[in-house]
Amino acid sequence: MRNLKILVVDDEEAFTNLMSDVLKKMLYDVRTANSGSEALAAEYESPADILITDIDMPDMSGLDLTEQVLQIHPDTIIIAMTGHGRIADAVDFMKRGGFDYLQKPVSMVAVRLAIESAVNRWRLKDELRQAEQRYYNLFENAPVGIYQSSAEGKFICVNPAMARIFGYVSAEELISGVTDIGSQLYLDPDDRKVFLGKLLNHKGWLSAEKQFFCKNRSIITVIIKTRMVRDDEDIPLYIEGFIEDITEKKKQEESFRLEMARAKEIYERLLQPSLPAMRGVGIYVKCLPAKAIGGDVAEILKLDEETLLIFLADVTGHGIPAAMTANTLKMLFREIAENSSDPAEICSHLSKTMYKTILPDDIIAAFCARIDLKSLMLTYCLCGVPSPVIIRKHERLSLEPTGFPIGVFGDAAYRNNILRLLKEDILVAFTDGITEALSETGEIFGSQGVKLGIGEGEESKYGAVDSIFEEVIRFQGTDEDFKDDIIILAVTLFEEDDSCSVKAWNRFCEPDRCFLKIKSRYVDVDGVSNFFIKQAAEKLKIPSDCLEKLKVAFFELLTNAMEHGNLEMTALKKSPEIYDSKDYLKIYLQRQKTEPYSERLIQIESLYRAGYLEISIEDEGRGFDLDCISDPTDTNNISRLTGRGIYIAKMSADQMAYNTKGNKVILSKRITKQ
Amino acid sequence: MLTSVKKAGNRIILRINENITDMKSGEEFKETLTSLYSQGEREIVLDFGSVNVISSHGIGKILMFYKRLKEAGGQMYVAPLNPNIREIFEALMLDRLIPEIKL
Repeated sequence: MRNLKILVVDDEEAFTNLMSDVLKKMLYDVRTANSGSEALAAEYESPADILITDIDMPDMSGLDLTEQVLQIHPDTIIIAMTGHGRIADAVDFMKRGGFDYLQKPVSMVAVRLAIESAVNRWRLKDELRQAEQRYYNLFENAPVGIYQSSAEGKFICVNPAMARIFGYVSAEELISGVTDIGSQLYLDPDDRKVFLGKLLNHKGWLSAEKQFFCKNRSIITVIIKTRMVRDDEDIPLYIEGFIEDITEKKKQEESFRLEMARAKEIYERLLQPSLPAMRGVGIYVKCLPAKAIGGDVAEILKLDEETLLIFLADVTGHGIPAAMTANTLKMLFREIAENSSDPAEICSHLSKTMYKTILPDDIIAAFCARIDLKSLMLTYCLCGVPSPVIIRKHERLSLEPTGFPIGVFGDAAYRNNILRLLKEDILVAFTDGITEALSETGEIFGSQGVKLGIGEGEESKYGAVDSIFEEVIRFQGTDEDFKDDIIILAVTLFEEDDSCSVKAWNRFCEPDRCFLKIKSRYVDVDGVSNFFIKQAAEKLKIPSDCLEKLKVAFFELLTNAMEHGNLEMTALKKSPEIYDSKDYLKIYLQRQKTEPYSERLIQIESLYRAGYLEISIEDEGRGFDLDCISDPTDTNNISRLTGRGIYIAKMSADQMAYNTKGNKVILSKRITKQ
Repeated sequence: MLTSVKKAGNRIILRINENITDMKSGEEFKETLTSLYSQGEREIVLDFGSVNVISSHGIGKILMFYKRLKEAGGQMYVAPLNPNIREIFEALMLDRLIPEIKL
């Protein structure tokens, strides 16, 4: 601690010298003055902590000096020395803010005692001053806004950070500029009333995320932590709180969310395989990404009328890193497949390129297979994906691995295996999310589980994909907790003439989306409607009854797509002679089996998003102009035969829209998921 | 502990005690292998004991160190595999790369 500064003032130089000597020995920093004016000059130059002054001096009395010094430095501790019996002076001195007085002649003992007591007082004051300074610094320099405000909506005090957050130059400007917090800072003035109500009913701190206007009317997002300060009798006094500006953080979060949403969209595009409609082939792909996006990839390409190329791959891990690799991989596969149809060649090319792209501890498991539909030869290269299974009547054949995972060795050689398939065979391939699923007791699903899921019978084989899925969910005990992405892919071979329609649909399913591609030849309007609506209900976990009206709309629109679109029956329908006779149905059925009508596709997509189930039906017909459809409820149109379906569909959905060409209709219905 | 290490002659036996199914366990496994490698170990025997699953995360690390050890004139081995791990090894053809030895 520094030496305290003492100024001794007396018109007798001998006395001030004596005091100076004595006090210096006590290690004080002592100065002397022999008149009031001299003392004031010294005070202006460097203020003393303690001032000892004679009262009775010729030019300026000690009383005047006391008054003037306290005006400049109110903290100065002043001790006066009065002449003997001058009690009135002493009283006057104390009234003017003196600390203590001594009567002349003064003994050194008395001086020492008075000074010690003054020093103690000084120290107490100093500690208080320092504490105040510390809190003040904390308040002034805090990186968060600190404020006190009245219930009426004025600021009592704010720190500079608070002013900065709200775009004001200084605390003073904020306090004077905002006279009503509710109407000037809140986006909605009523919001402050509500918040104030909560504060009044709450003991302790409340935390909330709020948006406020700044001085320039830009909007900031803050976290506010605040409380009502009350007196001893619990009467609310004022509000105090802290404010942290999170506008930037929010912006980043929002932009991250948007990026993720876009990444998900890209991933969904990536995920969806083309489902080529080919003679004698049915394709069903079902997938379940572990999180929003993942690293599994499936693709099915039609190389020519007779050749089908299948690709299934699984990149290490999930999330964005896996999706980035998966994206590159699928692009690369598509490119390579333009020039090569040999699975081993494709895998070897993929491996060479991906080896340079992926991280050294990542791997890509892949399955690439070519099916020649004429000779039914299956040529495949199996590199790390769990062995696909061929379902053949009662047999279950597992394919043999032929190569290392892709991207592990730059120079790995890949070879093909060849196998002859039979009509009615189903090839089922899946990623390791299935085989590595764990039960609650830690057992692994494995290829045994897959075979169990497929079942043994001949009948069950067409439901293999779904039953494997169901089996693995049963095994895990939950459908929520797949650690990995999952894709199951099934390719069914059949005779085109065979009229079993279910297996001839090309399907792609993921949790909120389903895509169906069917040749007109295989469209049984009732069957498809029942199947599709039942499946949508199962996906949304709601009873089928809830979608009864939607099914009516679906039925009407699918009928339209077939009759007016793909089978071009419009003119026939308008002719009562044909429409009323059995001929109409005969022509319908005949066209369904005759090219080009039979080969035209119906594409159906269902998508659940933001509380709406959207179903679209697209045909390959010439389309029509919705405006030409007359209103069937108009009395003039009662006897007309067209337009009724659309009208019924419109009534049964929340929204219905056609594309410009008129060959694609989108139905939308609000659904609350349970 | 995910793994435990035992010295056997000039070989290190790295026993895996838990499934390696996620990024976290994969990274831990990688760290163990990295530290064994940087300590100069060149013959590492992986013992999967009764562990059920090694996901592609784990397999990726095994292959990474298989290659590193090879380049440094060393070798990676596995102790006799249980049926679950054998199925994974065979699907990935790791059984052709990494010799199985008795402990």
